[in-house]
Amino acid sequence: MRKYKYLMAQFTFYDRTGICKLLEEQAEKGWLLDKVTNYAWRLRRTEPRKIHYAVTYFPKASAYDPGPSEQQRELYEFCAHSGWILAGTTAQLQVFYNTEEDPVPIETDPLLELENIHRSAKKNYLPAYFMLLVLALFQIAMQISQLMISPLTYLSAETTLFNWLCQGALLLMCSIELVGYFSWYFKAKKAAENGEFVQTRGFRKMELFLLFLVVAALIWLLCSMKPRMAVVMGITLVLLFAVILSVTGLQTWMKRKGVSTGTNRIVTWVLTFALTIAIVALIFPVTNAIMHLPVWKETRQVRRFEWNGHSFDIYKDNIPLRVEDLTEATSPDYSYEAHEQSSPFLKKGDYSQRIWFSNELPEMSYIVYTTKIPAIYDLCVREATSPSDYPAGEDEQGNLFYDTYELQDAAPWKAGKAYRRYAGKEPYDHYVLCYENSVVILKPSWGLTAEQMEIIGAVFDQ
Amino acid sequence: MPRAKFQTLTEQMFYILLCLKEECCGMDIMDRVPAMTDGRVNVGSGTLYNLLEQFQEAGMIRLTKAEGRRRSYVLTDRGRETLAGEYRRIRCQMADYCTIFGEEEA
Repeated sequence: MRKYKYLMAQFTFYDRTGICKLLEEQAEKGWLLDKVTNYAWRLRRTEPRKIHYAVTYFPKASAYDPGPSEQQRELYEFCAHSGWILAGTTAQLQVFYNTEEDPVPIETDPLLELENIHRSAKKNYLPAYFMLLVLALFQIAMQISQLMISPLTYLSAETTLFNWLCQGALLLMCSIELVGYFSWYFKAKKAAENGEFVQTRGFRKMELFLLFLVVAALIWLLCSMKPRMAVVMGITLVLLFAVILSVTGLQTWMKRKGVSTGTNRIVTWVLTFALTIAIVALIFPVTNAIMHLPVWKETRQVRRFEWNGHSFDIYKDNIPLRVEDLTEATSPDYSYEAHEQSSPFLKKGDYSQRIWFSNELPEMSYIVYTTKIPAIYDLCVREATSPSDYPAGEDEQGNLFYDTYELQDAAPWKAGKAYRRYAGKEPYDHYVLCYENSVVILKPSWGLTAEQMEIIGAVFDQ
Repeated sequence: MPRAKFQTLTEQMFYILLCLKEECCGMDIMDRVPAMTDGRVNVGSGTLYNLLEQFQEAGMIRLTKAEGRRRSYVLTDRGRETLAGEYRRIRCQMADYCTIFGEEEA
């Protein structure tokens, strides 16, 4: 039979009602709060009994204190005198239990209690959630800006949905904590004027659910990512946890060693800052090195040319349509490259077939967007056919003209719609083909024949 | 409208100050208040701790002795004045009550 069990420390700071209720239920099941740490609250097995818990707040206390101050010890003695035994503390929050049937509460003046809670909340709880809220809003603004700048690349990125989930969860958590706190605070302030206490409401279950959701999404993401990306993300997470564990570990160690509050605070902050800088500095070269490990490369380099001090790589990736499918051209020097990324919204395949040092053989590049949500289809067409921001040239009268996409006969392509790019009146060999679930942006280096269009249609009309 | 600090006293404040007519420590106060009021008024340990600190900051009580963490206090002139003011306020309330309902009902 196990001696201890642990509760995740995801408690709402001011939720004295919820904390006491949860601990009292645990006591009835035979578990008594034994130790409070940064990550978990430890409960020790005892005989099941009905006991009372009380949470009180000591604003002068700090998470960096080496131990309770003389003033705190005086408070503990007062509490012990009325039967309240200290079970654990974390920064300003102090948890007591009492085995008497009907003990005098620790707090009997609601206004004084409220002042203490508010002073304590202003020290860590409120600034931390305000900062997290700003961070979440900033991240969401960044996501929106990426969506606006390059919607198709953004929507097809593997991490898009996960980013939204994380930022959304963070925003929701900060909002419910802050709105919850202030609505309780103003209600409690009014009631305290009449000598009444107001019960608190925590968001532990919702926050644990959000945490579970984020962890589940992270596992799903790591499993569905390309191996090299998963390794990079895994290393980033390991480094992040290493920083958190080192910082809190050092903070706890200094507390045990009796290091003063001020020194502990400075060392902890300096270490946090230094390790964050180190991670940011490390993550780029580490990521870069991993990305370029041949074992993780999704495009397999077959050969490398050296010419004039430059390297030119030859790849032999599988691509859905090859120049050889359309023409008689063949060459061992052709390089075939495929870069694919996929999200639950969209799959983007960027393919090319090129040849170095030859102007005679045809080349081709194309991007295939395959939509997984019908609503994105129109966006894909709009993006693929949107004119360039820069002028394509100047006509005889000196007027600037821009690239445009004009509708063509789609029948040869077996497409729903087909567009061709024009610079003024000059047509380019640059097509946008719309199939049922996919949009293809095709750029061959030669003028296509009707027969070749039919072959292309047979490949993409699936 | 929020009440100005110590302009009027709550029952708990009143009895804590009353106990401090003579020098005593926090734990004595916790025992004396319910004894004095026949259990009608109890002061929680957290509330007592905070009130002693605030009374001291407001100059209503002063520290007389500190034996380890056992600290004793006594009422100052300002504290006595506040207590007397509260007494007068309660007496006025009693008088007003009697004016309305008469001595018998009181």
